[in-house]
This record gives sequence, structure tokens and C-alpha cells, in this order.
Amino acid sequence: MKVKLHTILGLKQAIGQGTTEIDLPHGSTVEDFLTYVKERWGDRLSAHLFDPESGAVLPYVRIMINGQTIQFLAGIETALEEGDEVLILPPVSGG
Amino acid sequence: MYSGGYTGKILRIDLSNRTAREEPLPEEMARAFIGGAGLGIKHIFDEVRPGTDPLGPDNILVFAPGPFTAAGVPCASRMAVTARSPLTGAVGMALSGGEFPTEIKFAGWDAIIIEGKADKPTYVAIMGSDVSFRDASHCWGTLTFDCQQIIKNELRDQNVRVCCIGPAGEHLSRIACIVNERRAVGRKGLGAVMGAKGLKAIAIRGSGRVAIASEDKYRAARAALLRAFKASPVLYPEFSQHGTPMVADLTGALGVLPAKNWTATGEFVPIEGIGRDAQAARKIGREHCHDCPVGCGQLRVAGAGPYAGILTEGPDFETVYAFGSGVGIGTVDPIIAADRLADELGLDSISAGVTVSFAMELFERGILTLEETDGIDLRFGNDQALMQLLRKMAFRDGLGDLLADGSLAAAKKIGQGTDKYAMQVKGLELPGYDVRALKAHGLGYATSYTGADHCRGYAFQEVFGVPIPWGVDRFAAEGKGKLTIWNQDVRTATLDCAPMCAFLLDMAVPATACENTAALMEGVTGLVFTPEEVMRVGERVNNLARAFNVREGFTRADDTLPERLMTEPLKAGASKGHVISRQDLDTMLDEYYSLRGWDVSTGTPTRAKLIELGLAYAADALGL
Repeated sequence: MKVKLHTILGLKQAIGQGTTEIDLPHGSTVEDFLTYVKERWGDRLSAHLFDPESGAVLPYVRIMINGQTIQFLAGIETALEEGDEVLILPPVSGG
Repeated sequence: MYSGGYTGKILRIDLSNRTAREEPLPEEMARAFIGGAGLGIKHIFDEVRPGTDPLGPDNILVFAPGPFTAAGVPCASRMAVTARSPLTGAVGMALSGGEFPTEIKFAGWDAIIIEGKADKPTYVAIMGSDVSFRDASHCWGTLTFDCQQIIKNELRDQNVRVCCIGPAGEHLSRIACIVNERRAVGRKGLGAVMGAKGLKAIAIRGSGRVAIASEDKYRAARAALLRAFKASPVLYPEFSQHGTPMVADLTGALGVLPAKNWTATGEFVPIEGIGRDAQAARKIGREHCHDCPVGCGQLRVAGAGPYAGILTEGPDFETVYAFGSGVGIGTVDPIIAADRLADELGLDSISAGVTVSFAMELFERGILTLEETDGIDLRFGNDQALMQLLRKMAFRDGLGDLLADGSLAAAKKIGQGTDKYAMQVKGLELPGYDVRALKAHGLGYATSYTGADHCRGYAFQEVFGVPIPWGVDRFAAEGKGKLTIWNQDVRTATLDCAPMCAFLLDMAVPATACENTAALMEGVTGLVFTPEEVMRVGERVNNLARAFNVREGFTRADDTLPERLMTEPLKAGASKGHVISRQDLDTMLDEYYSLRGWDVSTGTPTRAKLIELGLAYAADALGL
């Protein structure tokens, strides 16, 4: 199944583009998605997303599925579906 | 008694009689309101009688820094300016940074209160304790940057700090701002209050120092604050390098960057043209407020086309929205030019931009015709039209006269049900967050004592995902009353009354803001506060401001949002389909009033609540 990854700012620079289409096996979860991301973009993206010691997603990084933060879905166990839009946001502030 | 931070003196200036006198700052007032917005609101509640014309001589204008200003506390060169707003009729309070606030303290004052009305254009020069009233006839009509330089030259001191109004304030535009250096006391039309008083400018210079009550405690509190700055993943790495425009990238991705008078949010998202990287390409340097190690002020020069070479400090995110996506402009150079122009004319960029976008929507709908727009093609995206309208508004020329008092006043004059296209609350135009998908932020707009004001209850939990005091679902209405009270009270106490830079709360100290303020209060002033007592100051000030508004006739019915936000779901983007319905708003308001201890049907604070906060005089004034 195909899902879209959207990023901004430093994450976008690390990936090289703001929107990327990704092909994953049916039934994939956010955790599977993150494993794919880690393998595909390696350290240049991982440094922005994951704690180097625990491997967990950094506490200030937001992951959203179709605009909803995964904490209000099923966390990293959230199942992805065909056409889902995954938004990964680095820390931002100001306003 | 306080033994540091405060100078202990308030300067009261009467323009009618051309007199100045010194008043003490009582300890109980410092303890109850700290400073900044607290002092301002306390004074206007006590001194501005119900029904006072905001543009009459009986309105007062309070300039109040705080106990940390000029004391070496980082990010504390801030001042609150408070009056009854000519735009909303409610409390008008706005803050600015730069150097001017610090100079007020160096000159020996905890606050400056302006009352009365000059019989001719005047500027006031405050050289420490020496106050002189000077003819400003030669400054009247000048742009704000020119005015500051004229006065510095005249006083033969380039380090004099000047705040002034531009043509917009002189022409009593109710969306006029006050400019100090390249910063602005932007919102609620406070520039018109100065204009109505015939006060073109205030120049100030001082050579005093601010005492520190306990050097050891002060240093410890300051060090803790600076450690929090360094620990932030965004304050130094991103914010000090790029300033606020990265919020356009974020709100664009979230689908909440308002566009084309809020008709095209999620559809017109020109981040490549107006976001962080586009702004960075125009950057030539940074500016810091006094005692600020961050330096978020970004100096940018327009680089192409008819605007090439125009310099501004900014544009900040709100201006990127108001002169960019909001009016259908998707490139950076016109926004830089409009930002500079609005600063020089002395117009609030948010209200000016949203009022222009209101006129553009009416033009596209055929409600305003070319004949009524003085021949200006007001379609969305026409940057030349934006520049023309800003000038016309500041000088009340033609169509500009219709628009000079903001979108709601214009809608009332135009009629034909156009008020539903005026994107405002209580007359104050909406900042750049589409609250259809940020519901606590929407409740903040609805209940802020100043009208639609992102600085009074910013829901950084929804916008930035910071889970403090707890994480929230941005689409949900439930629980947002409690969150909004927390956001309003902690922000009021630690940022508006202290006052300190608004960006600290969400970036560096969200969990420890009240602890930091308490520690700084003890170290700088010697007054001992618990974090809970700091929070209580925020609650007290929000209640007193509410009492002021109730006395002016505001009720629950005024705590609302534009019809569009409650009936038209977002059409595209990451927030597609969401709306903040009337039922959502009512749910949040019920919770908010109930937890505030206010009457749920009217939104009026109860006598018991006011007495609990030491505001029995406010209960008496309201006849409760």
C-alpha cells in the first residue's frame, strides 16, 4: 500500500523533499513506517527523530496520521491504511 | 517591603495642564499585580470611568515595564501599554520589547501614566526625573522612523529612546499602533489613544540602576533560566536563527494557516514563497532586545521587483499571515515591503491585513465595486492594492477612511450582512491560526479580555504539541475550558505582568514558568512568592480585566467567533472537514466559566470569586 510522508523544515532538508510516497506492506503500523524511514534515510534523518541511546522517537517530535497526533490514536501501533498521510513535525515555536 | 527591582515611583503626566508628578508604588499593588499588564489593568479599572470615550481626554494610557526590566534578567525588556481600547471598547493591552522599556526603568520609573489631552501636537521628553512638554508640530505628519530620528537629533542624544505614532495614530485610526525603535505596541488601536491626546511621541533617557534584593538568589534564578534556554531544542538552534516565520511552515502543514480572509485555509498554502527558507534568503542580520541572548528579530531586505532594497525588522509570522496568505500573497518581498510600510505609517499589521482581506473578499463577491474602491483592483493577491490601501487607511483617504477603524466598523457602515465576513472577535481581527482545528486556541480568542488575541491564551499544546501541563487532542472541545484558564493565567502572570518575552513560555519554560517567576521575584525584589501565588496573580488580573469589560457591557454573547468558523468546515489540508461548531463553543464556554467561578449564563465573575482574589472593590463596582 502507498502512504505519503510529509515533513517540514529540518526534516524536509534531511530527506530532500517535503512530500514522499512510500510503499509499505498491507497491515503496516506506524512502528513499521518508522523502521522503514530509519533504514531508508539512515543517520541524516535519524538524528532528528530518534534518541540515540534508547532508539525511541524524541519527545518533541510529533507524528500525525491524517492530521491527528498518534497519541490520540494507538500510538506507534496505529495501523496505516492505503492513502494515509503521515506528517512528521520537528520542534517549532514562535508565533 | 520590596528592596529591589522596583524603583518605587510612578510618573503621572497630565497633558491638559502640562504637569508631571511622582506617585509611590505601594507594596500591596506590586504584590497583587507584579507590574506590566497587571499595573495597567489595575489603573484603568480604578481610573477610567464606565462609558469613557477611548479617544477622549479621560482615557488614560499606562506604560508599564516590570520588576525584572533593566535588572539584568534575560528577555525582560518588555512593557505593557494599557488603556480602554478604541477598537473594542474593552481592555486594550499590548506589549512591546526593544530598548524603550529598559530606559523607563533607567529613568527611575515603574510606570508612566498619561492623562488629559494636549492643546497642540506635543511630545514629552523624560530625562530621568526631569519632564518637559515640547512642541511636536514639526513632527506631526512624519513617519514613525523619521519621527524618532528627528527627536533624537533635536535632543542631541542618539541614545534617547523614543516611542511614537505615525499618520495612522494622528488620524485616529482605531487600528493604529505605537512604534518604539523597530518594534510595536501593535494591537487594539492604542496609537489612536496617543493621537487623540495630541501626543506624537515620548522620548526617554535615564542613567539610574535597578537594585537587586539578593544577589545570590538573583544569580541562581537567572542561571536556572539560562539553563532552560540552552536545554530547549528550538530556542537557540532554530528560533534565534530564523525568528517566527517557521510557524508558517508548521501551520501550513497542519492545515491551519488562514488564507484569503479565511476562505481558503488548507487550499492556498504558499510555504515555498513565504515560509522560513524564503524569509532566510532575505536575511541580512539579527536584532536583540535589551538583555536578550536570543535575538529573534530578523533584519530582512526585499530582494526583487518593485520592492528591492526595502529593509524591515521582520516580518514576523503574524505579518507573514496578515500581509501574505491572508490577502492571497504568496511571495516574500511584498510582505517585507508591507511590514515596513505598516510600521512607518503606525498601523497594526494584523488588523490592517485582515481588514484589507475583508475588503478583498467583498470585492470578489461584488459587494464592493471599482467605483467604491477608488478604482483599485482589490482581488486577492494584488500586492500593489495592499500597499495602496495601507496608505489610504493611515491617512483616511477615500476607501481608506471606511477601513481605518477595522473590519467590524467597516462592515457596520457597509451593511448588507457583511459583518459575517469580518474576521474578528469583539472588534479585534483574528491572528493567524485557523481555530476550526485548534479548539482551545479558539476558546482563547473568544474569551480573551482584549478580543481575538493569540498572546493572551496561546494554546501551544495544540499548535506546537507541547504536552504541558498535559497533552491535548487539537480537534476536541472537551477539557479545553480548563486548559484555556491555565494558558491565560500562567501567561498573564509570567509574561504579561512580569513582563517577559512571550516566546519563553512555549519554548523554554512551559513547566517551570511560575517557579522561575517566583524565584526571580524573591531574588530581584525581595518579595517572596510561591509558584501558586504567581499563578494567582494571573487569575486576579484576568478577573479584574473581565470585571472592567463587564462594567462596559460585555457579556457571554460577546465571547464568540465569526460565523464562518462555526459553519464552514475546512475544505482541504491536514485539518480538512473540521469546524468549531456553536455546540463546541458552548461546551467549552460552559466549562470555562464554571471553572473560572463565573456565572455561566452571563460570563460575569461572581462576588465570591472576586472577594477570594482580593477584588471586593471590583464586585462593588459591578453591583454584585
